[in-house]
Amino acid sequence: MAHKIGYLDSAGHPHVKIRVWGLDEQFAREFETMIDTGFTGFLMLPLVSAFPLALTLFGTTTYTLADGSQSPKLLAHGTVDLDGEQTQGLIVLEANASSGPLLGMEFLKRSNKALLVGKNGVYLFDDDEIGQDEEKASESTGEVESEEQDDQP
Amino acid sequence: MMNGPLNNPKAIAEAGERLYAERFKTDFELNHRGMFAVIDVLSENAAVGETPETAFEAGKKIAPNGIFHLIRIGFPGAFQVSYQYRHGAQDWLFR
Repeated sequence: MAHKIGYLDSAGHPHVKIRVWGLDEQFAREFETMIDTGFTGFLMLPLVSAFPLALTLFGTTTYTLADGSQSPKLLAHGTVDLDGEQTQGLIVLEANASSGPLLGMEFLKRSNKALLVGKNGVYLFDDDEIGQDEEKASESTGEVESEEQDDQP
Repeated sequence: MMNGPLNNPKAIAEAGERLYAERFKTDFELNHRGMFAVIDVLSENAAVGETPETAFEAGKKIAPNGIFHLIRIGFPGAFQVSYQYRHGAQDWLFR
C-alpha cells in the first residue's frame, strides 16, 4: 500500500527526508533531498555535507551532465534510511556545496519502490505490489481471451 | 605507466578514463556492455561487475590496495544527471 512520504517544493519537484551514514549509524544526519528521475545513480550529496557521515571512500567516477558534458566525482559507500527502510549504495560526492542532495533511480530500484508524484505530495509503492496487480490483470485478461477463443467456431 | 602524478581526484579520474580507452574499452564493450568496470590506476588492471559494488569487490580481489575509477561500459559516464547540475567547471575539487 502506498503512503505519502514527501512533498512538492515550490517548483513542483518531489522531496523526501532521508537519513544517511557510512560506517556506523551513530554518524547519521538527516537531509531533505529531491528525487530526480533523470539521475541514474543512487544518491548524490554535497561533499561538505558528507564529511560528518563517515562514508567509505571507494574511488572516482565520471558522470554525464544534462548538456552532455562530463564531470569527474568522488564516490563513496553508505546507507540511506527512508521512512525506516534502509538501503545501501554508492554515493556520488559533489564538490559544489550549493548543490542539494539528489536521490536517483538506482535508489528506487534497490529499495524496491515505485514513485508516484501527485499535486498533494509524493507517494511510494512497494514494487512487488504493482507486480501482483499486473499479474492479476494478466490473469483476468487471459481468462477473457480464453473465453473468447472458446466462443470462436 | 602513468603520465603524471596521481595527486588529486581529477588526475585519478583522467588516468582511469585514459587506461580504459587504451586497454579495455574495445574488449569490454564487445563482451560486457552495460556492466560496470573499475580501473586500478596503480596496477593498471581492471575488473567487471553487474553493479558498481560487485565491480569494486572484484577490483579489490585483484588489487587490494588499488585506487579505482568506476566506468559504466558503453556509456559516456557511470551515471547521468538531468537536473540542474551543470556546474562541473566550477568544481573546486577537480579544477
